[in-house]
Amino acid sequence: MRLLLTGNPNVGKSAVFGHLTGVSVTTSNYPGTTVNYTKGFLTYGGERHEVIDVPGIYQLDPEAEAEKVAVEMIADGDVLINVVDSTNLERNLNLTLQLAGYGKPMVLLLNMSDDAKHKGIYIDAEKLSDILGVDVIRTNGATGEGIKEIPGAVFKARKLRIPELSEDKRWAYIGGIIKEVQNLKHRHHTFIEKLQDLSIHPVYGPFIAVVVLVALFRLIISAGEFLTERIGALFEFAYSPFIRWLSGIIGGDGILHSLLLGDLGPATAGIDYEAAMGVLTTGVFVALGIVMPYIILFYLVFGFLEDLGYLPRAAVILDRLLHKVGLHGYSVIPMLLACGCNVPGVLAVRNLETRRERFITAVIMCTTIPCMAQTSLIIRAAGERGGIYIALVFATLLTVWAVLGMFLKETVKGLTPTLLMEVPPYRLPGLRLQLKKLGMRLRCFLKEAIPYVMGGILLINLMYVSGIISWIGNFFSPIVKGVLGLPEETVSALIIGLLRKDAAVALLEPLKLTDIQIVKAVVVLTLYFPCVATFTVLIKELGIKDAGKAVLIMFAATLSAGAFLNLAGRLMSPYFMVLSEILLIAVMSFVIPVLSGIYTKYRRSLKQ
Amino acid sequence: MQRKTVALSMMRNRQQGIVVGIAGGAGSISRLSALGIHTGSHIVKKSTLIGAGPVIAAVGNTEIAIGHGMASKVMVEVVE
Repeated sequence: MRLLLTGNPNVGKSAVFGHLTGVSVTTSNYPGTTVNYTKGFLTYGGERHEVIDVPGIYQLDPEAEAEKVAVEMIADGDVLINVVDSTNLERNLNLTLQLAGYGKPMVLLLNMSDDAKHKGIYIDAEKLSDILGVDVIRTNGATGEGIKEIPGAVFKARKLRIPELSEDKRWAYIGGIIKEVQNLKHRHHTFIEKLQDLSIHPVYGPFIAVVVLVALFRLIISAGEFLTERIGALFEFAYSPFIRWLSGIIGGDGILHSLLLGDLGPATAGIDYEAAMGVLTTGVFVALGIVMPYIILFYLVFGFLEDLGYLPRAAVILDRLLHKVGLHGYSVIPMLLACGCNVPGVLAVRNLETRRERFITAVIMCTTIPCMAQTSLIIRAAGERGGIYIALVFATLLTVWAVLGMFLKETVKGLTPTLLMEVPPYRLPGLRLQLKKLGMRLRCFLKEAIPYVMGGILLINLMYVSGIISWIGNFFSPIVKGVLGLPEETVSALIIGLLRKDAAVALLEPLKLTDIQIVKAVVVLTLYFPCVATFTVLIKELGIKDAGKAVLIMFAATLSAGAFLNLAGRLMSPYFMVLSEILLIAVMSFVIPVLSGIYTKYRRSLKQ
Repeated sequence: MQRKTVALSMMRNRQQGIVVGIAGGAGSISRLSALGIHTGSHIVKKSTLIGAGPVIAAVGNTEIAIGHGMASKVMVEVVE
């Protein structure tokens, strides 16, 4: 049998699914966490049954890509497990009654029953069950309460026993049900509700958003620096003796030595793990010593904000800003996800309704937003030269984001619908769930990063040894040296950047670049192409044609930003460069719409 | 005390009322209805972000963010 978990977005379907099947899936507190279905199995009565976690929908008339998938799936299910948010019974029943049209057996879960209790909402489950004609179970996806009653109910599930209703009659009918089964107790505003109101307040809301984002960034940078320093010392103490011993066995030099260990420096000094360029030295150190601490920090803070429910509020506050680049507020959520890793960012684009929104969001995200692994190395490489260089890197990326976005707004055809989104209440994240989620993301990172970083460094060493690098370097010299003003060897980083961005930035270390060259190199590495993992999902989500367009846009962005930095770097100090970039955004926000207007008029006059 | 019909976007913060109609196409009506905003629902205005930003309104226990354009099409009867 095939059991489908269906319901409104953000009612806790994935949490119930996790308890039911033992399969871990990402849960959080914003509508649209699940964009694709996950399959799991439940053994009951000696048989294995398929359980599917379906993306949430508000109605059977789907708007976004993720919703279309959901509605198509419902037709193929044998039993529907309709998960309902107890604090929002009225709106949730609207979908329940629409599901009746499928004529499938159903079980109704009154989820978030603890939340309802706190809010003074009491629902008479027996009465509701009598009215609807299906089993009603009180559950709590966070703790697992009530879950064990589900299998028993599912295998004797009945069909809904309600009259067929037109859209306008439906709400009145639901109103009648609510009057009979729901009881509200009045209570005072809690502290958390006051906080909720503050974070969407016209004045305090944006202020809080700025404070949250700046604090987040500062915290990650300083805690990251602190941690990487400690881990560096730990490597010297615990790992170096092993490397020295291995070096002795291999024989001090030769090809195998330079591939595996690289240049260890004099035996009396400590090993410079970043400059050694061996698979077991730099490869291991970059993944575990530099990137991992930042990944942990980022997902610790991000996971908290995500489960608290801050993301939809950030979307509301940034809505106006995103209209300037042809999007609406919801696009903030994929973009924040992309700051961790671009892959889930691209996947979350499915929650957007039109092709235009999906294209603009995916393109400006994949072009300008560095993932946390890359950010950690940018902070390290640029930060060594001074804080202003970190600022210059991010100011440049922001400029490309804004200018590219404003350009796409005028050129990509289609509509951007207005924002319409549920803003869930704040929920204090539980520590256990937070750690579990962090563990899941960390495992995913380690599985991806270690083989790719080590493999990337091995590959580049092989290319150096065989002379391929200098050949490719010569070939691309006009662009790399001429337009971007970088030494030809930077090509090695650009090649590895196709595989993994963090390993690519690490390859810049031994090139002895100047301060501005470092800025140029990391900006170019961010812009020119997404990593292979991101590009694969980009093709899957946008289609090969749009992905091809995206690649051309990325090349254009790389050349313009690189040439700008190359030119400006000779003329002015980094402080002035940051200022002139901010000025550029302001000027372009005026110029681009005007130019677009003139162009449209011109096109029209040609037609006449 | 007098009854007045105003657009959701024009309501004062913390003002409440009953939705009496949505002056939009079938698409907007159905999207709003799916979130619980339909003729007859009780609605509380929470906030409007500055610069004609989105409106946040509560229906039952749900808070919903609505783009300014759409919010100006939701007609609400308020008591003043």
